Amino acid sequence: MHIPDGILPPYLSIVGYGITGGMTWYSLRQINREKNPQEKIPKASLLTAAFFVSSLIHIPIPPTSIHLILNGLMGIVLGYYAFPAILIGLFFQAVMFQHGGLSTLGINAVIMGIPAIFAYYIFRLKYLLGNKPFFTQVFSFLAGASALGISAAIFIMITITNIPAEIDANTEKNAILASLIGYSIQMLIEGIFTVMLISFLEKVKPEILNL
Amino acid sequence: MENKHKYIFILALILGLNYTQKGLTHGSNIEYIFTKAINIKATYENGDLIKNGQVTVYNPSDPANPWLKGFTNEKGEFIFIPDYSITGNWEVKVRQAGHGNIITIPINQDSVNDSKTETTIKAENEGNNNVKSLNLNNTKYTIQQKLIMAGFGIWGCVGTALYFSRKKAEQ
Repeated sequence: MHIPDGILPPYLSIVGYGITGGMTWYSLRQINREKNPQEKIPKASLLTAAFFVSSLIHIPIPPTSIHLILNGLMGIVLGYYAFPAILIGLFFQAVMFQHGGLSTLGINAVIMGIPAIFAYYIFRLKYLLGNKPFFTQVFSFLAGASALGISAAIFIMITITNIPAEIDANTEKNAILASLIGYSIQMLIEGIFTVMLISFLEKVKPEILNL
Repeated sequence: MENKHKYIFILALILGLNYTQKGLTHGSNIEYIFTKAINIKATYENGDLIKNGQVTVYNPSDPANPWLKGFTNEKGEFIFIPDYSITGNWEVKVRQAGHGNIITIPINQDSVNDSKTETTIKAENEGNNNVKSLNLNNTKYTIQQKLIMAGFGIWGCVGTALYFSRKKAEQ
């Protein structure tokens, strides 16, 4: 789901940086409104590390393999801290492992960061129904899976509308649409993984979730 | 004397037919030369092969329009022979499902000379490897290298977490 350098036209990279700049400003503004903005930084740092290494752990799903994104989990646990955390994680992935790219850092942050904020609000919906463990599981699954689903949808929308003229558009479209199967499976895996981790945290250290 | 004219006529006829044989029989010819090709191998970050990925090759004199188009094979490979008269940085792009990579291949005067030398050597040795292989996954780190880099990244994040935790404890 990381778009590498050289795939997108330059104007889109600039637009990506523009949106990311705006989202970073808004996230920092929201963070600054908290009583102690530095309080969640250790938590954000540790989850940034998890996000950073998650791209190296591949789960084989024939004929290809996938890796966890964890943006839903980051959104649930970190709230608005998730966006800058994902941005930093993506930067290190691009610089160290060439996973993604520097010119596409902005657009990749949009693809993975905005759904994380969305997941945060999805998870918060559970408070409307009461603080029962069952609802925690349901909404953590929805948040984890939907964050990945939205990321995949944005990725597909961007890549399918920016196929260069010099390549066979139909072949590329078919390949992109075929990748939806993999993303559907990944949605389920991310959802289940998020449920497992959130349920564990709820039992062991519920203050992490601000429950 | 009459017989002598007869033999000359027959000889002239045979030579004439032989001369026009090429045109009459639609003859074909196959020639071969050894030359240096470039073999591109395209993989994803995790090492998976990019099979049937779309390849576009750009020469330095016209970087806006593809010089060659094609597809990678089942091994993620694509072989092409660049025009060695066009020196500069050639670019090869492989794309599949929004993923892919781009590689720059410098073709300079040394490459041209190298190509000629290679041609001679291979012709003499009935060469079996006149293909220069390049991996399109620009960074082919070993697992150990990746683990060390990941370790440093994690330690950076953990260090940040510890720093801010300490500050909180002091307060």
